[in-house]
Amino acid sequence: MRDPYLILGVPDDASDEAIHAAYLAAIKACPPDRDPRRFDAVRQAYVSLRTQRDRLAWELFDTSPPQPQDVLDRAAPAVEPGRPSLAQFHALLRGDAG
Amino acid sequence: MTTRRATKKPRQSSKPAAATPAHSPEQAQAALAAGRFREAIEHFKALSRTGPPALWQEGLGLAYRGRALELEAKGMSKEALTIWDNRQQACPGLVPDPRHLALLLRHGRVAPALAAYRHLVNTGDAAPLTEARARFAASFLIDDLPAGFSEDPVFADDPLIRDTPTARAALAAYCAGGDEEVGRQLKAIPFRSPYRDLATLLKALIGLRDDPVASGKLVERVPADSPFAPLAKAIRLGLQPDEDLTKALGEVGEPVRDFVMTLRGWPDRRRQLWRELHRLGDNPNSSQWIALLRRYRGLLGASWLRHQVRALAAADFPRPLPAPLLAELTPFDRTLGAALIGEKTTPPRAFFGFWKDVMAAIVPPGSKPAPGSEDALRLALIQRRLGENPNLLKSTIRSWVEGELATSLELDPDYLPGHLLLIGHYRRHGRLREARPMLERLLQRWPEDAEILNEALDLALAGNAFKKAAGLAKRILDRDPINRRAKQSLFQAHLAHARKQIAKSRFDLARKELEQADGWAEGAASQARVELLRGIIAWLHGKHDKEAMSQACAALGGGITGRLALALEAERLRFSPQILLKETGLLPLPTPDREDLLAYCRALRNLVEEADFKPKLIWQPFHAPVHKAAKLDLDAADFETVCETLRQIGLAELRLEYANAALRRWPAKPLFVVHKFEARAALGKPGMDTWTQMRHLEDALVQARAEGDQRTAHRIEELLGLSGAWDPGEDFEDEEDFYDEGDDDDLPAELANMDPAVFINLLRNLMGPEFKKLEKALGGKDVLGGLRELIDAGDLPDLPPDLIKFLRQPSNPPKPQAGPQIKPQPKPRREPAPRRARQPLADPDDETPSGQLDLF
Repeated sequence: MRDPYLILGVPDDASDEAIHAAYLAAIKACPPDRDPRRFDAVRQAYVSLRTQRDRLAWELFDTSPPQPQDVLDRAAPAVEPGRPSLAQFHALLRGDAG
Repeated sequence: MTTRRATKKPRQSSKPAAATPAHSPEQAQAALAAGRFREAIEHFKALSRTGPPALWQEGLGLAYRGRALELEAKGMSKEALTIWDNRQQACPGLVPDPRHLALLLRHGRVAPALAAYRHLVNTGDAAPLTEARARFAASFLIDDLPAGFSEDPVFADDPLIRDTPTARAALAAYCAGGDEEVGRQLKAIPFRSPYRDLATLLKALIGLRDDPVASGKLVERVPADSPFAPLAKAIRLGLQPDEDLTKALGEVGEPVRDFVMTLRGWPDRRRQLWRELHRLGDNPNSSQWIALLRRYRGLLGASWLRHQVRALAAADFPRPLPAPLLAELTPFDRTLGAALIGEKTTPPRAFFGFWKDVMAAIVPPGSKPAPGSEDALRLALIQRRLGENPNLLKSTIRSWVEGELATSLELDPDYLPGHLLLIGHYRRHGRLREARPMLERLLQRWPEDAEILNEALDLALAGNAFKKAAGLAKRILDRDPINRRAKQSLFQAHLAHARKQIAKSRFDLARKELEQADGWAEGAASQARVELLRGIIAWLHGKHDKEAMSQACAALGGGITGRLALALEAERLRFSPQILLKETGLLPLPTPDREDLLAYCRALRNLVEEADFKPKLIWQPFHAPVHKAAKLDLDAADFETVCETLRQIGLAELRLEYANAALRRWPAKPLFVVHKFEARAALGKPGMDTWTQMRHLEDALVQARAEGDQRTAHRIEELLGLSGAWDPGEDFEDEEDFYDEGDDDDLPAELANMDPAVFINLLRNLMGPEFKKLEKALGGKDVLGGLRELIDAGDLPDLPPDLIKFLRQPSNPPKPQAGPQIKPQPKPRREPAPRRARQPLADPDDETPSGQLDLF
């Protein structure tokens, strides 16, 4: 299981309200008919963090091994989407795209 | 050993042999159709020397094309260009291929490309010309327009020449962030332009952030063979969800990866970290993980890192964590980690103690946190976790767990499921007097709560208050008409009430109850249960409807499973199951097949959960068929199921029989050794009075540990009276020990003392078919010697490292010992280190246990 805080994009000390708001925003962005897998992940993350009891339970009992995506998102989160340069377009179209 | 080099066959040429008879058009076409392009080229070339062009030219062109595309797909563009050139030379009558033109340009041969393009323009063949323009478009977008093209008046109105500046301007505007300018330039590119795919993809890129779905649809419009397909592929990748993207980036080349990472806003640090993660592969081991996590400790945060380290410790157990990593953990983390590991690997008493240690670390013993405070919630969570563990609730320390559950209600009084957990526990154990006042209090506080009403219904049923139960079920169904649980409970209530009336010989009332039950019955099995009771009423009136009873039993599983249902009804009504089965024509019982036996075990296990059920009372008629079924062709999991069921019911004699039957097929398999000895102990003949039998258990212990079956290992330890004396982590003092296999001599030492036959059996179980092959190859002689030769040759079998290391030593594997060794006492075992020794838990009545084992 992935880190629910990272899935919902909330800090470790987020309140019930902040978590609920993040959950609503996340499921709006990935409704179940469009992205069921992501929806399930968001839903599961919300269930893990919904109340203070849930958060304490996750903190105490979770033994999921580290996930590469969590490490990436935690240590070096992505920033605003960027635009590739002309050189990057050229490299792509030269045929050495791999 | 055979080597790959020795077995490699010489490469076979696809050229036709010299002795091949004259080349026929059929041969050539067959080779072409089969994709053997080199062979097809040879055939068509031979035909070209004697036949007219109509016979070979088109085929030869296709064969050359196929071969060129093959080489291009392998990245051999230079070689592919040579093949295209050969094609043009050998088949001058053919129209130049657009891919040939694109390769010519790519390799800087502008003049022949220009000539070929002019040829296409002059012939006016639309399809190849359109494709050539598209392929040129991708080249012209990157490099300057070749002089020959831009200056030739023939191409003045060519869409390729006309649209190239616009496409370049649009691309440059996109890269500079000028979306409006991109829009203006794209409007100037007509639909039939060779830059059409580029225009589509630029639109997709602009909309990527606001409407990724629409962008995805635009990308799908670009065909797979478009010269702009690499760009489409990269954008498609950029649209993937994070986790899919992280994985997929490892499967593409650097230009695509670089492009997509930019598109997704990956800073340099993220790119670097991705590369490090990618290098770890799909299944990094703990030490690899740890090294990476420590490098990024500052960014990951100390608390998060500790959480991950705990998880790794749990996943890696029984291998302890390296000492430097232990430094990452606080004493609380270690205690918590030990509890989480202990929960999966130690007997109930031990892990109860571990969790008590965690609770003491949260709040020192003697002090009490304020109800509802964070610490109180933590304690209550742990207490409920203990209360939800079925192994604990079945153990001798059940009363401790009940005490913890009761305390959790004081610490976290607002958590309804906590209350219901304890009430449900009391109900299942027939302690209704304790459950009722608790439930009444809950109903006063939450009178409309469906969960409480459901529990009240179950409690009423458990107390045989059927009228009250029916009333509660109707109350629930008024609020929730599709509540299946309430319907089932209502069905059970009417059924139970009918039994009560039958027992009192009030048959009319019983029939009415059965009619009511019929109305709530869902499915054939429920209907059949009603029919069984109707059949019993008829039987009590002297009417033996054997056919109806037989049908009801068939609907309830048939075989002995269906008959068990009838026997149960008899037992509940205090009739003799034997007589009822006999008089309804259902005796003698059939010998069950595999499915029937397993269904029967399932049914029995469900019954064990019922507080007042005494399976031994109805056991008699079933003894013989279950006894015969031990000869069935069952697999190991089946035997395990049956043995475990018989253990739960307490039928030691049959359990011993099944354990012996399993051991005949899988000699020395630890789990069945456990069942055998436990059953013998239950029968009052433990059988550990001789050294040989003791060794049997000890060998099983070693094997269970080697297979990583900790639970069985603990059960064997208990049988050996060694519970708590074994410390799985005692050999690893620090990181050096963790990595240096040479220091781990515990398992090999035990292997050295193992009976050779048992040792071979251990290998047989671990290696499976590989071992059988080896045995066959060696004709059954010195299999261990053969295995060691394999290991020495570097061909490592799929065995634990400890075993391989053990087999590498010249003095191993164990040699047969001279004569039986009868010793009055078990062999001495190494004493555990005092600081790690776990004290056996005291009797439940004495004091609450406390775990001190440092599992790291």
